Amino acid sequence: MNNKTLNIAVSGLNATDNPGPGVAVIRSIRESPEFDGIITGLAFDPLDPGIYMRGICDNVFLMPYPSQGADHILERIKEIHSKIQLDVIIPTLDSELDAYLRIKGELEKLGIKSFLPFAEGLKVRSKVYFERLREIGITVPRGESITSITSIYELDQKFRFPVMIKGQFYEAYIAHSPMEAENYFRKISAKWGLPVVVQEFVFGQEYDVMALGDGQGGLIGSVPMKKIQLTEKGKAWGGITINDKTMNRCVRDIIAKLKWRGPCELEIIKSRDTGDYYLIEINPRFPAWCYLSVGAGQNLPWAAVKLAMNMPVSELAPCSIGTMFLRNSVDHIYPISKYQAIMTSGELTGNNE
Amino acid sequence: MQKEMEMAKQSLSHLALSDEGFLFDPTSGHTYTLNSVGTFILKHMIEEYSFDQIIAAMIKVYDVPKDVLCRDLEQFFHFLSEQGIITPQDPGINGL
Repeated sequence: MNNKTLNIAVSGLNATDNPGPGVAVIRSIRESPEFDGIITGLAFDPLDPGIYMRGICDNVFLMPYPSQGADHILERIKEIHSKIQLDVIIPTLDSELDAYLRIKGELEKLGIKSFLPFAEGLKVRSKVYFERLREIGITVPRGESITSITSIYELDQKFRFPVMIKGQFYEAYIAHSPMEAENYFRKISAKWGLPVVVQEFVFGQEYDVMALGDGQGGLIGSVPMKKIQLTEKGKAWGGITINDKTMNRCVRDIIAKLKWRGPCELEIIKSRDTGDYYLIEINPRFPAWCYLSVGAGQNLPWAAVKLAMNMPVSELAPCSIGTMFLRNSVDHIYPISKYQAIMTSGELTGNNE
Repeated sequence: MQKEMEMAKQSLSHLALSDEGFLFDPTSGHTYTLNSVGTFILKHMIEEYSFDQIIAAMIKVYDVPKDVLCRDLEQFFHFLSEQGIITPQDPGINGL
């Protein structure tokens, strides 16, 4: 790739039954034959399993939570950068992206590169603005943002139950009646604030697609997957790559229309009634199952690193179909000294030595 | 039925079917396990055999009257159609 060994920082090292994407992103990068360098993990919790897993992070640093503000994140990165020079940062959590967009310029001045979505892209993918994607020709379920319980009892004039009740940041429930919708409205608004989003429920088969856009409308690669095993929260615990040509065209069209920059996960439903493909959500980062892209022959995390480094990246060959992933849970044993180091100093260096 | 077979011929070449009857539909991501008869029929469908050719092939292997084979084959097509593996036909056209 080049003569300089890279230091790539990756966040999201949580690896529980609802894992962050960090460990999968790191495994993908390490699998690239072009990668020559070290990985620096950015963790939020001293018990994030990715801190300790063998062969994942060379160094780990605790980070302030995104809710503490972009300035705190920048200060911490400067501190880390003064100790071990960083070349690229890949934030992997939705909640971090606003902060990283704010400090992007400062990071570039420090020589730290990234390949983040555009701010406009982040805005339109938010649940509150999501329905507006119809205006640019993307098929999404009808939706409405509501701020009061009164609106719930007017829903049956506009929607047919069941409907989806979604928090503006997280959580979604299927409501089969206005009473149920009210219950979810209260639950979600108490946790995630207002507005709450009501969305038409589309019956059909759900698919997930991981994609990487070049920011100019081009698609570097995409890996469509059907979940074959779910956790209690409905997260993928196993999946298999598929090849639905109509959906592939739909994905290419979405990335082109949004001029999406960086990684994303598209959640798509093929309507049982009409056969139409509905985009139901865009997650603006790699999914936790992104290691599947390596197995399927498209190392999208490594492609993102190259794009961050301003290296030319052509569209990747189609992924191989029928590649399957299954997660597992195993116990690992670690010396307490590592936990002690991260707890007391907020950093763990030479982790892989 | 013949028309349905023609449709099926166009849309089945992408299916991955093992000799043991494990079927993967790469368009939907669904997997199925077929018994030996289902595997026999689908393999011939993938190889673009016509309805009559499949019946002829089955008569050579299975000791079953032709009318029973025809009925079983139609039931199997219904199953494939219900699962979305072959495209459902307009009943008005194919007479099913």
